[in-house]
Amino acid sequence: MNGATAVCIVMVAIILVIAAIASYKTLRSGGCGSCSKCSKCQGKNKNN
Amino acid sequence: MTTVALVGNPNCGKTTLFNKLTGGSQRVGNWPGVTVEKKTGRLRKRNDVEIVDLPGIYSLSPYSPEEIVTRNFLMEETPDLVINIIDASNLERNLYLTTQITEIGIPVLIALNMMDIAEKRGIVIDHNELSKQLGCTVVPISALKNEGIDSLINEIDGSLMKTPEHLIFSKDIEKSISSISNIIGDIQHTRWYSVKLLERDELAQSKFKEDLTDILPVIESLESSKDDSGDSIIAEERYNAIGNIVSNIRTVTLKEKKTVSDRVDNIVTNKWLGLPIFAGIMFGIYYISMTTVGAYFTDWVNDVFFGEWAIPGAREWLENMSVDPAVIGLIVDGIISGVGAVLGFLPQILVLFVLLTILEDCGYMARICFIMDRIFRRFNLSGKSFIPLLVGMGCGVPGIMASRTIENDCDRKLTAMTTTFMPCSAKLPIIALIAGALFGGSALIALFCYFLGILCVLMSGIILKKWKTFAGTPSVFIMELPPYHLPKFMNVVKTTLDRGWAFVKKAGTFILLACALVWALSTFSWDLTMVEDINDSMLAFIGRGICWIFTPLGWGGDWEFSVATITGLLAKENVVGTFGVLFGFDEVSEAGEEIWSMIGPVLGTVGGLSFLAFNLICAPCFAAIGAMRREIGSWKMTGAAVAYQCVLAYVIAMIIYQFGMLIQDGTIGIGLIVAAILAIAMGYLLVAKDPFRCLEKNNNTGAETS
Repeated sequence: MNGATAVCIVMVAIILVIAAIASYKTLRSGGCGSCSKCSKCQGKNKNN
Repeated sequence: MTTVALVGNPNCGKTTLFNKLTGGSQRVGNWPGVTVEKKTGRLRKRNDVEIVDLPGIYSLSPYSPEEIVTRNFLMEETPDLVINIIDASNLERNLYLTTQITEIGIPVLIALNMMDIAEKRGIVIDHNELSKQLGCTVVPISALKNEGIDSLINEIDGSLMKTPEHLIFSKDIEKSISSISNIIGDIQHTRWYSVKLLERDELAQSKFKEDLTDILPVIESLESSKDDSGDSIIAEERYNAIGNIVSNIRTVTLKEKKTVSDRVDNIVTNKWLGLPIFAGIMFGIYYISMTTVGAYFTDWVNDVFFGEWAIPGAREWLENMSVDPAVIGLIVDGIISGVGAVLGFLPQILVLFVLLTILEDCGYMARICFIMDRIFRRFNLSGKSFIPLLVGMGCGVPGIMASRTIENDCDRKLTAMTTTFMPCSAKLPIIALIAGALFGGSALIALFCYFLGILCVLMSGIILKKWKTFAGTPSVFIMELPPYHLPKFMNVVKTTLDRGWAFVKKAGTFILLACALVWALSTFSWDLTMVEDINDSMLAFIGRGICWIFTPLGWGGDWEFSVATITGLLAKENVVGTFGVLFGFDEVSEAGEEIWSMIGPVLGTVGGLSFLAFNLICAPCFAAIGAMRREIGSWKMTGAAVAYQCVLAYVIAMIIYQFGMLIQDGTIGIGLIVAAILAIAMGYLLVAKDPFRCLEKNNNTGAETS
């Protein structure tokens, strides 16, 4: 495995982990992430 | 921290004022019931003041769950100040709530909103005199035009210590209130609870269950002396007092004449013209967004941005760096192709959002509810059920939450489980893909999906109301039609960008993960070696295991469609994203001959309609199922609702395919016979007598006879 491949794998892994955390947070908050306007998302963002 | 609650009638401008006070961008709409839960924000440049936007309420005797949110907040969390927003063009009805708020004993500041509309109608209000009469500061404002907001903010501190004066009722009523106050003792909000107990308010009665034996004789004594019920006695007194106040502070300089809104309403809410006008407007909206302006930009994003720049550029760059082909496959064919296939539809969706927001903002959407009430009522549903459907056009989750505005428990549950039949923004890429690939981008396909959604809601209304769980007369639909106004440019831009950004965010989270997973499953075999032929992959194995289920629907022959449908459960955009990974981006983005040659032999026009219908009606994404669970209240019933949606989707898609093939090719087979039986069974369920309605009729007849 060359260096470029390793860097790409690490970058993709980081992106996937961030996407997974963001998706989990959205689902856990009860919102869907589709509008960010319901109280579920509001609960996390009190200061607008 | 000082807490300031915004309280007022529905559609009096609370959320508009909230946005002005906090600098926020909460969704506003020109129809009642946009806010169903409280929202909080900090006052501009004042971090020590928290502003709470509460759902609209006509009185403090709530009927629907979102009204209970407001009452509970006022009574249990007791804010430091209530800003009571009053529609200056409709004083009497708005002051009815004010007279109740002043009884709580919390300091009140009154924002006399919509002064511009009142002025246009020749209504002059002496706000200083109103302030004297109510014992609290009154500030005339126009939240929409940003007038008087600074004066209102300046009055907040001064109003914090000012307790308003409550109404003084006639002597005998005051005597009864005093007796009840003595019974319940010195508690917080004693007078308010005493009045509510006199009104026989159920929530108040449940709070003072133990004292009821002493309280009831007091109420009965007053009721017998006045020969009326407690709540009517109090309401009459309130309206008399309000009448006196209004006659002292308001003068009308212009003769009442038909406004522009009235004249427009005569046409758009006309018994015969209303529905065709609605259909025409929706066709126009989809025509502009799907076929003309939106399609032009979508073609550019797909063909040029992704097709010529992003995908070939990324591939070439990675190859030049000698990155492993498997990793290039994951990044280019998996992530960029999958997410790109979804993002390619963003321009069409943005154009659609702009047009829908204009319709919402100008006030036409409220008229649609009014038009639909006439139709919905024939199908055992209330026009109120149409509000969640409208909200659900953006996203199913807030749509399901909007069902809280319905008082009747059965109607609310029924609406929550049928809201997702409407095409939400996540389903639009599927519609655009099928319309573009198989029907030359015709806007009629989008209109078909729209009306298919409404048809499914109506059919469900008829069928499910025959079950005990949903039986009952639909909720009474009373809705104030707000005056039309020109859409606010910034509101349209903000709402569109909010919705568009949310779509992009979802593509970067749920869709990205799903595309990576689909790529991995379609690239590796069970022994985790890369496959040369996609048909040897894990995904193909899984797909072949389930695709037979969809054979009667016309698209079970090729496993890709079954897999796309299943990944759509995570998020509906995944259906298109999965095609992006499985077929390669170019074929999906080129919504023409290329994809036609790929999916044409499998789907065909009839199969395409069947695929579209199934994906529109079947179980929504997981987030919407979670929202359904919260509104319905039990996993068991939510499971039943999801099963119902899947079965209905299957039956409708099968009927479309089998009868479509009969018309198109004259194909007759076992599938057609089953579809015919299912169609007859569905017809029977639709026309069979409603046992509960018959029972109700019999009871009513019995009551009349006796």
